[in-house]
Amino acid sequence: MKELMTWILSNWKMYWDGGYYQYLLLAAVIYLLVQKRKEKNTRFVLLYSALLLFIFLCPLTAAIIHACIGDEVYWRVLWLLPTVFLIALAAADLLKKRKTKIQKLTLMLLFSAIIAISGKGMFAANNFFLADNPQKVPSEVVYLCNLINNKAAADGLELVRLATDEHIGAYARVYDASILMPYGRRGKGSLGKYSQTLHKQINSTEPDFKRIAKCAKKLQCNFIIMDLRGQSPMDTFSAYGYAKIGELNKYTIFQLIEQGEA
Amino acid sequence: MHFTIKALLAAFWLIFVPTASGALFLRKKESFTLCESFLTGYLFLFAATELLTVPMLFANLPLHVLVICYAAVMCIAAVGGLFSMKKRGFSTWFPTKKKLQGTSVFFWMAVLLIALQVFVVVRYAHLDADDALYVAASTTAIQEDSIFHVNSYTGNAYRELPRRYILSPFPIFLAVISQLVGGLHAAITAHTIFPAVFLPASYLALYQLAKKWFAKDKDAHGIFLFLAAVLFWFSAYSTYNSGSFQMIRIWQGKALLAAFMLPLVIWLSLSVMMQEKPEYPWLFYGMANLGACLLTSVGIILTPIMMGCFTLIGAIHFKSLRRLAAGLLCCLPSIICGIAYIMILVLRRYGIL
Repeated sequence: MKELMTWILSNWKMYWDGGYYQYLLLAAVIYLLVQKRKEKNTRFVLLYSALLLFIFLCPLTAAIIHACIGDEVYWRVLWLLPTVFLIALAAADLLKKRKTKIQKLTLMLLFSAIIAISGKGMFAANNFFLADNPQKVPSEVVYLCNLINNKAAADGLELVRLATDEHIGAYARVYDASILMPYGRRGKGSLGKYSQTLHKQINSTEPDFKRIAKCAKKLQCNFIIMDLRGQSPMDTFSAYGYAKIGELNKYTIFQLIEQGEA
Repeated sequence: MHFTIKALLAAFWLIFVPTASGALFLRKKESFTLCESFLTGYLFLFAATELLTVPMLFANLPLHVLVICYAAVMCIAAVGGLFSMKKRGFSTWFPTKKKLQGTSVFFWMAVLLIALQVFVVVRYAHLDADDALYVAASTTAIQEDSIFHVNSYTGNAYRELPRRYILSPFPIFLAVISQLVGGLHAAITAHTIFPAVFLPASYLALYQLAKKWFAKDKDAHGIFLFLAAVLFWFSAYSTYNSGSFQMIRIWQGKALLAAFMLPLVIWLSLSVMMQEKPEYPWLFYGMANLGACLLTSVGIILTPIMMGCFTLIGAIHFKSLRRLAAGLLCCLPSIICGIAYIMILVLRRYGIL
């Protein structure tokens, strides 16, 4: 029981961590309870919010929901709490009682400042950047996918199967779904031991290049794109029939040219 | 096809068609706004997509069949809606000069702030590795002309269907819309078109809620929307809260659930469940539940929790078992999906599926 409660509270903390919106919500609820409790809709929404908090915090209901949605996303239950709505509602109700528009405007800007201090802006959290492609995927992905597609077309390859790391792998098929991969993000979709090993090694800080080349060849990957981490394993790759065809930033691109003997 | 034409097609399928089809469901109402019609249209659109996609997925039908069926169903509903709008006279749907002049300055401030947010989410990019599943599932469906039969991570055929996603095929909706918008790349539809439509849509849902409290006070509408927009913008304090999901990845089904569908369900709960005489048909409440099932597997669980709470409060408040039964009936899509999910697990365990 204690463990379950700790887990519930850690989800609560995780959801609000870094901001003070929970206190704004508390203030809004207190205001609505004092000022608007006689209004039917306010009563219903406050009752609903209380019921939802009970469901979130009660170990029994938490255990049931946990069994349904898993332990990684229990915090999503808090999406059901109408936080933004209640805060904006209480503030708007308080402001509408002011007599002049200037008073309303001043207070609205003051409330906006309080909100800004209580949270964190979207740009401040580095959430956005200017993309150089309409698909809005990393530019490296666009360049690398175009490069291997052009190479495959020039060499008359019917299929492109690419082994790469998490960063490129996450967006390669978003950009071009004709590119096949032996595994997906976090190794998902791996079909066997070779693809699991390949995923693990290609994302490792100390990659075993021999195992990478061996597994990639077994899995019929005709392209490998990876960060060599300052090393020069060209001989190892060429032993398995892979030749370097290009570089971009930290990435080196290899293509299977079928002359390897290993 | 030129991008402008694709943008017009996107406006047709994502704004005009939902708005027109929503009117079909509101035709018996004495009066309704375009905003209500748009939101109702989306209830229908999501519910219909779920009903069309899941059986076609199990029947192993190609994506283009779903695209044709979806387009046909939506066009029929939109034409039906247009007829009901015509009966009231098209001119009634457009705001008069007098009405516009009576709009509060706070409302225009809120509109400006929301427009700025829409500009940011359309102009700028946000990288989210979850796209490896959600957007890639759409690009894969288009590439392979299939519905969830090819693994979006690898491009290989699924050995077994992904049980978490087959009952919530929102990426397939993205694929369908991309195809209808002149074959626009699914990543462009997701990262540019969807935010331009669904971010304002989420504010429309909140606006409907605000109208319940501040029926005649137009200043309050504007102040409410402005502060809500500020609250969303400063939600980046954690990556888990719904505001964060709304601002940075609204093209994913789970974000759309948090930003759009859940406020919509609260609005419907107050308009249907918590009214002596429901303002809208009970069908809308059921469609909201079905639509939430389309968006994400978590929606199958979360939406009935919300609807269940309101049903309980409503049943106690009105001392009505009938209301309780109606509320539970509206949660039936979630219950069916839940049972189907368990059945898939069991059948897979015995090697039948």
